[in-house]
Amino acid sequence: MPPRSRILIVDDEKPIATLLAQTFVAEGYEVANAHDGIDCMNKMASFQPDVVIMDIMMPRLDGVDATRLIRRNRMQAGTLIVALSARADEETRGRMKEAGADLFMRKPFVIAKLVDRVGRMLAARSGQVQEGR
Amino acid sequence: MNPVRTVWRLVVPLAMLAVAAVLLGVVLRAAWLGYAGGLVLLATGWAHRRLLRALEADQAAREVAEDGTPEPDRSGPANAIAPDPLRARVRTLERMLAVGNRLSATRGRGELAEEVVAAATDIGGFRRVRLSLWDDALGAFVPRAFAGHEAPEVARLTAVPLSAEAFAAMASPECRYSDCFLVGGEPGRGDGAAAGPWRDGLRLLAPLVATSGERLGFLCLEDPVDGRVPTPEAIRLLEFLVRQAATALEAAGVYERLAERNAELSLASRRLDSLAKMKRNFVANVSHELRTPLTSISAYSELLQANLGNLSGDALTEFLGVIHSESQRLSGVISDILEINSMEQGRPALNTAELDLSQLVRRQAEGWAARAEAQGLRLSVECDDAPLLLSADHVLLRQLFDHLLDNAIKFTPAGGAVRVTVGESGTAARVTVEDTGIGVPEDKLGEIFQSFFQVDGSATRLHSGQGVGLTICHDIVQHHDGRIWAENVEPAGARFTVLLPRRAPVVLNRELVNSGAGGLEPGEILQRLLHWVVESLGVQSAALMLPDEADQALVIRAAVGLPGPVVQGARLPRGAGFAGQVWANGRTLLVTDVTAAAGALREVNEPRYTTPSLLCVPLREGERCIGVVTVNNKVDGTPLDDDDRLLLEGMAPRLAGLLARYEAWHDEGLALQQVRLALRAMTAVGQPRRESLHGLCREICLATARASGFDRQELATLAFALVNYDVGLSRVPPQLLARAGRLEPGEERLVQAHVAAGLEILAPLAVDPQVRRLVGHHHENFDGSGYPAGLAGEAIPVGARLLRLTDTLAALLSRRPWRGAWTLDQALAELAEQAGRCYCPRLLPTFLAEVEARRERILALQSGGCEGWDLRRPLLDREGMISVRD
Repeated sequence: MPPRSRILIVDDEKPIATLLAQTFVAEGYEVANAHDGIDCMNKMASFQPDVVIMDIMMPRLDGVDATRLIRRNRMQAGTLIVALSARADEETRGRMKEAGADLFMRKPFVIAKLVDRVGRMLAARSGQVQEGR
Repeated sequence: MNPVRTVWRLVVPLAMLAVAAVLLGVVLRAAWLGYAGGLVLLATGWAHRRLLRALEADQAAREVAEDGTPEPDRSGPANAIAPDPLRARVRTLERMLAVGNRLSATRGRGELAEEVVAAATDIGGFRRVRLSLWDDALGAFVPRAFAGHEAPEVARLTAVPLSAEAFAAMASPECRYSDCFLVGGEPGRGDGAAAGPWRDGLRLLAPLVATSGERLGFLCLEDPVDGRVPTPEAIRLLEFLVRQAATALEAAGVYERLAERNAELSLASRRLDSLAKMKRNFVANVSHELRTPLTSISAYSELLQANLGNLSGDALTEFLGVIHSESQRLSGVISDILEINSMEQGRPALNTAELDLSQLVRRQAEGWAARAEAQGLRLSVECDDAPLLLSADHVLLRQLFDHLLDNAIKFTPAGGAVRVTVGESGTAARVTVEDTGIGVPEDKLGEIFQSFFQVDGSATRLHSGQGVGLTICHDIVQHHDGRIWAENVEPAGARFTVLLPRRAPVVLNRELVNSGAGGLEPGEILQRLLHWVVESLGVQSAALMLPDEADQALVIRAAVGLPGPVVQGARLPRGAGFAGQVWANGRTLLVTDVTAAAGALREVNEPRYTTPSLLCVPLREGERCIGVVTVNNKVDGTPLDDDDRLLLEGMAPRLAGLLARYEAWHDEGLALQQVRLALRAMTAVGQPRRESLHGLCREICLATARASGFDRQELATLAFALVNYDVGLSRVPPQLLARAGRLEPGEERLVQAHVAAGLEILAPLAVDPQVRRLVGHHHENFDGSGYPAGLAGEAIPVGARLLRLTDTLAALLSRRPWRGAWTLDQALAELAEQAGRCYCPRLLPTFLAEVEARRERILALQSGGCEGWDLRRPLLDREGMISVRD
C-alpha cells in the first residue's frame, strides 16, 4: 500500500478548518492544520504535504503570497494547491491563478465535491508520475 | 447594497460635471484677465508712441528753426523749458511702460507688491510708500510692501491689520481727490486741496480696485519729493500705475487660484479613484464577510445530512452548535451592513437621556464575562462607585461598548487580559478598553475605523471577523460629539479610548423653537451656542433671553441649569430684574453678591445660587440691544469676576451675529451647517476645565495683559482668543495627539496644521480680525523660528506672544501621555532660559510676576491630580524637554 497522501489545511476560520480536517482524516489522509500564511510556510518543510488547501483572506500572510512562496521553492514545486475562498471576485481568482494555484473553489462549497476533486487530482498526478517513469 | 450603488451612480457623474465646470470657469476668467491686461499695456504703448511722435515733431520744428535765421527770444525761459517737461513725461511714460511689462510678467503676489511700491516711489515721487493688500484669512487689509519705512515701524504697521470698515471710515467721500483720497487734511477740501504745499500728517490713499469692483488693497503715499500735493495730472499718472498694478495683482491671484484649483482637482481625481477602489473593495469585503459564516453553515449541514445515522450524540451537538453560532454571526454581519447603510444616509436624531456611564459599562462588561472566561481571559472593569452622569443615547452607547469589548476579546489570545476603565478627563467622560492582544499595525491606527472601506485591496486581514464594528463605533461617538482613537500599548496590545462630552442638557423654549431647516435639528444652533457659553465660562447655568414679538418683555429662548417651567414661563419686562435692566440700558452687569443687591432676588431665574454672583451681558446689533445672556454658578464655586466679564463680552458680538443669522436661517442652510461645525469644534470634548491649571493660566495671561496696558477691547479680544486658540486641534488625528512617543516629521506637520485649521473653523463665526491674528500666530517664536508665518520680534502681535507664553506654561505644568508634569520651578526656569528665543523678553518679567503671585494656587492644583490632558499635545518638544522627570 502506498504511503498515505498528506494534506495541509490552511484556514484561520476554526470551524471550517476542523471540519475539513475531520473529513480528510475520515477519507484516509494524513492531515495537518495551519492558521495563517506564516504558519503554513513553517509547516511546509516539516510536514511536506502533497496537497495544500489554502484560504485567501488571512492574518499576517495571505493565501496569494503563501502560494507564491510555495511555488518559488523547488523542493515543494510538486505540491498541489487548492485555493478555497469566500473572496471569489475575478480579481482575486486571477491573482490566485497567477500565483500558481491548481484549483480555485469558492466558499461556500460542497464537501463531497472538494474531496472528489482532490482525490482525482492526486490520482492524475500519480498517473503522470508513473508514466514519466 | 442597492442604496450604496444608487448613490454611486449619482455621485460619480455629478462630481465629474462639477470638476469640468470649475475648470472651464477658471480658464475663461484667466483668459479674460489676460485680455484686459493686454489692453492696458496696448493703451500705454499707444500713448507712449503718440508722445514720441509729438516729441519728434517738436524736435524737427526746433531743428528747422535753428537752421533758419536766429531768433533773439528763442533762448527765453518759455521756449527753453517747453521741451523738458515733455521729455520728462516721455521718460516717465517709458518707465511706466517698463513697469507695466514687469508687472504683467510677475506672477508672485509678494514680488508684485515690491514692484508696485518701487514704481510708486519712482514715478509718483514719494519717499514713503506702502502697499496694503486684502487678506481673506484675516478679513482685513495687511501692509505687504514698504519703501522709506524704518524696521520698527514696519513691524508696528504689519501688526495692525485694517478692517474694511476702518478703511471706509478713513477714505471718506469728503477727502476724495480724483480716484484717490487725501487723508489727514482739512475735511471738505476734496479736489480743492490740489497742488497746495504738503503738510505733515497728510496721506494719499490710492485704492487698487479689481475689474469686479472689489477692493484688492491700497497704496498709502507720504512725503512727496517736491513737498507739494501732487497736481491732478500727476495723480492721474499715479492712478494709471495703480490700475495696472490692480490688473497684475488680479491676474496673479487668478494664477495662484488656478494653481490651487489644479492641485485640488488632481487631489479630487485621486480621491475619486480611491473612492472607486474603496467601493470595489467594499463589495468584495461584504461578500467575504457574508460567505465566511455561510461556508461553515453549509459545510456542517452537508455533513449532517450525509452522515445523520452514523453521528454520535456529542458530534451532533457540536455540529449543531457550530451551525447555530455561525448563523448568529451571519445575522450580525447583516445587521452591521444595514447599520452602515443607515449611517451613510445620516442617523436620525439621538434619543438622549441622562444615564450613568459607569453602570452602563459595568453591565455591558458583565454580558461579555462568560465569553472572556471561555477564552481564558481576565476581564476587569475599573470605575468609581459614584455615578458618572451624562446625557447620551443609551442604545447606541451599548452598541458602542459591545463592539469594543467584542473586538478586544477577539484579538486577545488565551491567558491575556482585557481591562476597561471609566473615568473623567477634563470636561469629558473617558472610557478605555485595553487588551493584551496582537495590537494594531502602526500605519493602520488611523484607518481601522474605516477598515471596511480599506483602500489597499490586500487580502491580509488584521484578524478574522474584522468587520464593520469599528466603523460603527466611530459613527456613534461622532454623533455624541465625542472622539475615539486607538493606540498600541507596551509590551503588547491595543487601547481604545472614547471621550464623551458631559453636558447639562439645554432646555429650549418649546414655543419659540424654529422648525428644522437646512438639515439641522430644531434648536440645534441654540443648544450649541449655550454649550459654548457654559463650557467657555465654566458655569453651571446660563440663559439666553430675547425680546418677545411685541418687544415688550424678555423671554428665555434656551437655558442650561434652569428648571423647565422657568424656561417656558419667564417674562421680564424692560427694566425689571437684572436681565431687564441690562436690556434697557445696554450695559454689562456684574453682580458679585446678589443677596446684597437691591430687589435682586425677585429675578425670574432665581436659581438656588451656589455662588451669589451673576453676570449679565447685552447682545448688541449696532446700537440696538437684541437680547441678553446671563450666567451664574461657576463650577469651581468662586464668584464671577472681571476675567469672566471680558470673556463673555468678547463672545457677545459673535452670539449676537449668530442669533441674527439663526432667525433668518432658512435662507442659509449651508452657512448654518458650517456654523454648526464650528460650534461643534469649539465645544469639542477634552477641553480642560475652567477651574484647572489651564483656567489659572488664562487668569495669569489676562492679568499680565492688564498690567501691560491692554485696553478693554484688546482684553476682550485676548479673553476670547484664550478660550478658542487651540480649537484647530479637533481636526488633528487624535492618535497623534495622544501618542506617547515622538512624532515623525510628516506627523508633526499634521499637528502644526492645527493653527490653519483653527482659523478655518473660526471663519463662519466671522470673528474679529484681531482674534484671528492671535489665533493664527500663537505658535510664532520671538526669534522667527516658529510657525506658521515665521514672524519675529515685535512683528508678532503682542497678544499672540502672550498666548505663546500662557500655552507653554499650561502645557509644562500638566501631565502628558509621554511625560510627567513639570514642577513650577522647572517650568519657570525653562521660560526664562528661552526668553528671546521662543518668548518675548519684554512681556516675560510681568508674566513671571503674575505667576509668582499665584504660586500657592498653582501648587495646590498641581497636587490635585488628573486633568484633561488626553488630546493636548504641546508643540514644543525640543530635544531634552521630554526627558525631564520621565
